[in-house]
Amino acid sequence: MPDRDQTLPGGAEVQLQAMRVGLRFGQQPPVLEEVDFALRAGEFASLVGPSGCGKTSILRMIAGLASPTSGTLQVTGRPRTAFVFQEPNLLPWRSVVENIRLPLELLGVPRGEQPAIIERSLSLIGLRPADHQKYPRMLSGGMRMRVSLARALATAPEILLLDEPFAALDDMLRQQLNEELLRIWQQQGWSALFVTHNVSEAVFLSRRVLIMRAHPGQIAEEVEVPFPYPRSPDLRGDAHFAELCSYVSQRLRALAS
Amino acid sequence: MKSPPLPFSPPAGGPLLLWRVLPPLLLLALVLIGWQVAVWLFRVPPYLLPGPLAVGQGAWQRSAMLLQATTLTGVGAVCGFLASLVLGVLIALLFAQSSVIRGSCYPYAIFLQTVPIVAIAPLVVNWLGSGLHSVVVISCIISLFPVITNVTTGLISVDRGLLDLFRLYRASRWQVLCKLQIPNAVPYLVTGAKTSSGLAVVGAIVGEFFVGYGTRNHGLGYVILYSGPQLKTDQLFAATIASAVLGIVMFSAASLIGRTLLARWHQVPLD
Repeated sequence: MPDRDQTLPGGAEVQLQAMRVGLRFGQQPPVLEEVDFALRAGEFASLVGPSGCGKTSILRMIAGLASPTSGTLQVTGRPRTAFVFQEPNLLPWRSVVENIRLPLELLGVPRGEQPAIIERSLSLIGLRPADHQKYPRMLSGGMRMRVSLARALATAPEILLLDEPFAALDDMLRQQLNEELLRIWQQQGWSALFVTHNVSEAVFLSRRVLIMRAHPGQIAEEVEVPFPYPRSPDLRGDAHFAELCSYVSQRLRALAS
Repeated sequence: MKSPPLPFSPPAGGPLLLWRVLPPLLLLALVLIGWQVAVWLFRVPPYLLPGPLAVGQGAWQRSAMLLQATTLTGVGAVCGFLASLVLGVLIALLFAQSSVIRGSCYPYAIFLQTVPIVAIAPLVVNWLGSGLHSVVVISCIISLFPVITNVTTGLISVDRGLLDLFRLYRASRWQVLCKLQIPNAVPYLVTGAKTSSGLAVVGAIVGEFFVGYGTRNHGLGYVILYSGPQLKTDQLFAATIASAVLGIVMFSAASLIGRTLLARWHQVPLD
């Protein structure tokens, strides 16, 4: 495994490339137009932008839940993508363990191999064994999101798509989950594309922040985040961090007006 | 967590149970006393309106016959109810396959609901003859519709986010049906079954208006039908009350089974 901690992603191979991708429904104005960006293998990148700029649509197209109406979306090899939705999207009639088992069942993982995989992803996200047999209704919002994350990780993804997964959580919990997400990412090394409204979250997590404009949705600017991994929570108090966040916010405001 | 809307009843418990049971019982006692007093005061002849005491006395005297009739009707209603569950779920599974099937078959399903059962019953008797099976068929026809509509709704109204999850992992149609649509339809089935359980009793009694079980065995429908002309009004009342009790028992059983079925994920146990 290459040393991913200190180097910038310049040399890494491209995992995913969007070339002049457009999306429009019928005769309505296009949701996305001429979207260009690349995601390198093992890279953590974020998409920020105003509501309705098509961030979620980009993730859905990568996941195969929608198809671009123009341009191409090139994926190297046939990597397994996992999607962490904005809602936890847990089946209410299945316990935590059974929810994590679902993608394994759908992908045809042999039954004998499932318990070890489930066990591993549950321990990754730090859910107490007492909670393993609980039903989603009995869990807090943060716990549900952890289960949703564990379910995505259980499929051993090469690309993880995250659509504002922590938007509904309070700030403390969001920061804690951000740190855990980074820790797991460093262990496992998948590529991540993270959609968020929260600039500080995007900067804290990513190596690159892609800023979008709306009507039509487009990547307007890419911002490199120079802080090396692993990133400590103290980074949030760093002056350079604050400076970068305020720069991204300022660019977002400029693009909105 | 999104779950389908259901009438949500608080769990039964000590003071709460008392609070729920006591007021209706008190009201019942008041009505019975008023009824008895009115019958005494206005000297209403018993063939027009027997007092509650006379009804109780008549019921006690004919308790063996009433019990047998209630059992017979109960068997017909339970069989009709179970048949409507099986048939209704199968039809709903078919309806859920495509909107074309739904569109072309739904008007005929509504026909089931709107056509007076009293008009169909003689036809069933002509085709199938008399006996328990005809009662079961009539009971099934009347209780079928709520099962079909509710289960169809449950099968087709799956959460979009959950459907995305299944599509993400390239789930087959069969997997979506078994692992998403059918579990999603369970609460809807319970709702439909509760409505059907009461209707099944009505169907069985209507069936018995037209169908006999032979010369010695009579269901509640027969008892109700012939007590009137014979001016055995106390017996008429007793049979009517028995059929109402039968309906309540079936509804309660359906509710209880439904609640146990959903308990795991639909209600949070209080601890």
